[in-house]
Amino acid sequence: MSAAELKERHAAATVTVDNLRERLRQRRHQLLDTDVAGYARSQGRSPVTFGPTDLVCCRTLQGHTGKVYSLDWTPERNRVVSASQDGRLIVWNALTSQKTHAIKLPCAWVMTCAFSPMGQSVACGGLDSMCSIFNLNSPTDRDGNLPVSKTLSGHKGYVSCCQYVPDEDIHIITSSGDQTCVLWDITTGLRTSVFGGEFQSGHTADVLSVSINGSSSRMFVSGSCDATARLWDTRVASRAVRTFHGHEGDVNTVKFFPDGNRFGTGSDDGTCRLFDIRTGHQLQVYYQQHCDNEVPHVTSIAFSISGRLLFAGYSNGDCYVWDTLLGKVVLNLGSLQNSHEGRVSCLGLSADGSALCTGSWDTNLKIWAFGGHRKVI
Amino acid sequence: MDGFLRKILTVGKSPAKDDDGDDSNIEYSFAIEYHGPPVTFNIPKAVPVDVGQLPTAATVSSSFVLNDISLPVIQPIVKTTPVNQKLCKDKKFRPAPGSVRKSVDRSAVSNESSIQVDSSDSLGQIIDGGCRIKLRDGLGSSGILEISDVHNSLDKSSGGLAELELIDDCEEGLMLQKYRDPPDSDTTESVLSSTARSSSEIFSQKGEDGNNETPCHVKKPSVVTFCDPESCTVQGESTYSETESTHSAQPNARNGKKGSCYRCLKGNRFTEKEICIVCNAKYCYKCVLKAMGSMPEGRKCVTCIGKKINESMRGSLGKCSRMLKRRLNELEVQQAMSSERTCMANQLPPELVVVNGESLSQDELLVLQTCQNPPKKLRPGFYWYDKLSGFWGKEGYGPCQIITAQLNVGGHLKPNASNGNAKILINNREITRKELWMLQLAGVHLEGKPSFWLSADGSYQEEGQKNVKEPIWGKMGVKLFCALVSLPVPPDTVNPSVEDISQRTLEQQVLHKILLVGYQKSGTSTIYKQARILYKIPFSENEIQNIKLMIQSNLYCYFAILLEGRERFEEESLLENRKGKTAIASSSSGSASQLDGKTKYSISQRLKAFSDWLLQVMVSGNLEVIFPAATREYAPFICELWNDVAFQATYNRRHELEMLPRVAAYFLERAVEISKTDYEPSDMDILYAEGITPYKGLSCMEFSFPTIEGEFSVDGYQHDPSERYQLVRLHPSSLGENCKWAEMFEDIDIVMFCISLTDYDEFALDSNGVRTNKMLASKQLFESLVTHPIFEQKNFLLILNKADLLDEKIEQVPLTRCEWFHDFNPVISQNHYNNNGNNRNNHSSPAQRAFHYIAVKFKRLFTSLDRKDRKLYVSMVTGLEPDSVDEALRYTRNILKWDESLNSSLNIDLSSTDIEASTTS
Repeated sequence: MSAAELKERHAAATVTVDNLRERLRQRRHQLLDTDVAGYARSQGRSPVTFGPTDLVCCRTLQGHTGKVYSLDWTPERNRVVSASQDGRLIVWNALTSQKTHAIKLPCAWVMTCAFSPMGQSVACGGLDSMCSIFNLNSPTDRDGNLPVSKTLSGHKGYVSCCQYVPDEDIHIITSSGDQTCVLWDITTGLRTSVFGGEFQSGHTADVLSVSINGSSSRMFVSGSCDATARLWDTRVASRAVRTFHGHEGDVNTVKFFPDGNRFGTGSDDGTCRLFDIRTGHQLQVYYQQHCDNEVPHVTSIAFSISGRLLFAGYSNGDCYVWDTLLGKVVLNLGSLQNSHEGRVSCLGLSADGSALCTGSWDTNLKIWAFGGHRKVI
Repeated sequence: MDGFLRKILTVGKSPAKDDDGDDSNIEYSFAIEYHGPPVTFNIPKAVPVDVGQLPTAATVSSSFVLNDISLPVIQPIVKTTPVNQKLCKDKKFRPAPGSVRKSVDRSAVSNESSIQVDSSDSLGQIIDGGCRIKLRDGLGSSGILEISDVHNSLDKSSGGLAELELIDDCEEGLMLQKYRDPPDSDTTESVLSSTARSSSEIFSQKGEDGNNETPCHVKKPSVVTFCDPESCTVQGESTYSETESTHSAQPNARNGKKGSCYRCLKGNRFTEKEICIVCNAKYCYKCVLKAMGSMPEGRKCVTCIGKKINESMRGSLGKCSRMLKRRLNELEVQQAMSSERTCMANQLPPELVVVNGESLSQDELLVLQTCQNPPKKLRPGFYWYDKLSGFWGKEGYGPCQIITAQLNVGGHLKPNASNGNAKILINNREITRKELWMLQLAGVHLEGKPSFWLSADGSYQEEGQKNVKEPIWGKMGVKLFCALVSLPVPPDTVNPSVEDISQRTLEQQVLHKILLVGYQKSGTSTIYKQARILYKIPFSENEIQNIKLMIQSNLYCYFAILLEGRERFEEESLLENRKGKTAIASSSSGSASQLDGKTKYSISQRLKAFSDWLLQVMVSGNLEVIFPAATREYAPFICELWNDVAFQATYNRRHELEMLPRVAAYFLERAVEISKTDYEPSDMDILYAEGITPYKGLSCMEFSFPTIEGEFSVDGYQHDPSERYQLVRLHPSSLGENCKWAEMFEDIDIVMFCISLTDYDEFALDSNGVRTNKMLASKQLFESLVTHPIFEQKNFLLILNKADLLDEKIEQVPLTRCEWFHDFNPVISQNHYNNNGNNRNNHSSPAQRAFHYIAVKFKRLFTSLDRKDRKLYVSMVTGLEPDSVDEALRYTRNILKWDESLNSSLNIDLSSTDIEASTTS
């Protein structure tokens, strides 16, 4: 078989795949008679209302000297870890707003950080293509720095996101610029499985985000620069369970819905979307029209504990609170007093859902909490 | 009842009076509960009330309280003051505040029945009152009541309320949500409710005094002291507190009475408080966190962050009060104090330290602080320093320490520096009486009031005489005597904190950041490693291990490429063999002599199996999976293969294998050695290896340029040798089209874009599998970087690398092979012809001309892309030659310097136009 022949067949196959994909899209479109917002409206549901004092900034965590890139809460205690461009990880006590650890990183270009489920260690990753684990209880060295307790190396590109597998301190899933996600065994420091990559059906561009299903931790979803999100089963590394198309830009962030049957995405195209992992349908698009042509990118998202609210950070400094049911913005944290002055780069909800932490390029983190008589929703 | 009691409580009344419970069951009777140990200190006397100190006037005038309702302000305060004082005396006695509180609660509970106001009721009322006041505030100040104003003030009050609750919560480890609930809801904990009750009781009492419905906060300043700091009165603050940003616009102006907290205006002199190291504002236990936030620079009010500290507080830098230690856990205190010590704004301002009459510069201060024996507790002030002997003291006083001698700090020592009157000069300083005694004891001859020269080791010389005397410290008893009269003795231990300071100052220093990027195989890693060797930043053990692994796995790759080539050559020669039978003069390699399908490229069965296996591994792309086990297992194969004739024959034709990089030969020649497990890569090996880590990550190094003699005369710039530079090298594979990482390099000073000069006739497969010229691919990457918004303002230095290889190549392959260089014109060849005589001249060699041509090409491209009128700097480099890399990096430093001094546009023109001038001529 000559090269020309091969090329021809490859081209033909590509066309076929594209055709099939288009048919699939159309079929999905046919089947999808309404979206969540339309249905909720027809059922007469009214949107959540927010007064100006219902969600207030009650803490400002100052201490970083560079842009904050990532944050994570501990599941059980009220602590937050944040990663910043100043090359430090800081562990905060969110209640007293004090630092408990400031970890100087060997590589300052950090993109992500995570708290272990037990709260004993933190992980971070960045442009050094490695995921470093720090044990918070280990003694500091002569210069007062916390030593790296484990390095997970093997990625061939920057580490864009990491998340511990819930309920155990020994497994972590990372996503990377080398188009793969990797499940690691921290005790051995070796890769348990690699999801995607050159010879497998996976993402075709940098993977930017992962989120592990809270209700069954063997499923996780990843978002990538190829404008898709993919659902993976940790037991089947060879191929994605499902691929979710829809976005028109890089998928910067993915987050599982609290019930584990849906997940949300945020993208460079300025939209957040809600997908159902069982049907593969796109349930809802959250998009706020802007008067100017500049579409702000969605940098990070988080769901409230019930899933009724979707918090989304945007590159222009806005931070919308969406009513997931009706697809309406109910509050913009960026317009409240004491809000961030720069891009909101990361946000996360505490495990009990009572507080929201946002990190921004203005080097600060802020803790927002529900005020007044409002219950957690 | 209450009122009556108050009347009978006169100033200075002893607490014992309250003891008789038959008096009444009002709350201050709890003073009897004290059972602690006897007091070791004087009991503070209850001072008669100074009318001038009463907070009444201030409170009313402040923006906090604006109600025009006439309040029973003065009277209750006057009367309660003695009680307060007594109470706080009480508190002081008590070793465990917790027990006090309990007793308070108990009595409070018991009192409740008799006192009429229900706790929750009054609470709610107070909160309402707070809001109301806020509203009035808005009205009063602006005159027009705007809705937004109302919202704000509402927000403030409720926000503050929530905050306050949060504070409590953290102590109990409750969830945030609970704290957000108003105090009258059921969620509050028992502790909270009990404190609430006790305080509500206070309110109710007050309420009786005045009229019930007035907001009682005016009295609160005096009320707070009823509760010890641990049990905050919840409701009191909620009415006052505002959000963090609005509070303490003028932190120094306190509205409350003397000794009270600057934020809640409650408490008195005896309440434990933490002080802001900038403005001296004092905050009580419950306000401190709200006032100081997360303490990024230590104990400073939120509004004081970034300001210089009050110099009188310098001594307490890093030492916080016990109150803060109780408020926060150990780790938090540690972090806050370490940031207080090390943060930039809190450092000693050099201009305030005056040595020998001259104030110091930043560098001098650094020298002083980082020397072997730095002055202890250096504070702003006037000092004298004896450079010869290292004596150090405050101006007008005797020596207090002997620090490192021969430091170049400050001015010249004056004779009267230490205000001595002994008429004896040591190193031109008139010594003090004490020193004279010491010299006498040391047996120094002092007849005739001579002058001495004293050196750092204690040996001395009489002025005008040559003989050096024994060190004065050698004499028995001298040191002891010195200790007696508090004269300094030479230090015998090195100060351990020096390292700390030097590390801190290193952190503070400005780093010039250089980003080194380029297309694949453009030699960025070589330049990086060369710089690393050049500026003596050693590779760590870990890095060397990584490099070793990389060299070894690369070796296997080279073998695989060669083996693949061997298969091809074997096929070809077999084909030719067959042809050869028909046409005689066919084969060029002359391999037709072999029979039965054997050529000189054939290998044995065993090696064939290994070869197949290796090729298969390569194709599947999991070479690193079998590493490093492979080195152990297959080293003999590598050895055998390398010595195989067929393999050597292939190796000799390696130039036909495009995939094989040039450096392969360097490693292949030593294949046997490298494939061993105990192989240790040399500096040369490291330099030649492809890449730095097998993980394609970012690598960075910090360095400073070593000074070269005569450097100043060359470039005419004063370079600070201690200036630090950071070279950041990005792996090309991370330069994806999305540039998600680019925004992380916002603070970079200059981009070094590296291009391999030999790329012009080479091709690579891009992500879509299309063959593209590597020079054009480089150009494309260059364009995308130059136009990237993050790099829009940055300087670019174009590194044209591999100049040595261009020399060889340009003779064989014309530059016009690359379509972008189609107009590389023959004028130059004419030039070449003309200058035939002096071919060695730089400007006439073909490689030089090609370099200039390419440089101009890129400059034009740069100008066409650029909207900001930047200049593209160009440098020719051979990555493998240390001098060449050094030169390029020093050029980078110059560019940064030029950039700094904006006025020196002349220089920029000079340096950058020389290339243009020479090429356009």
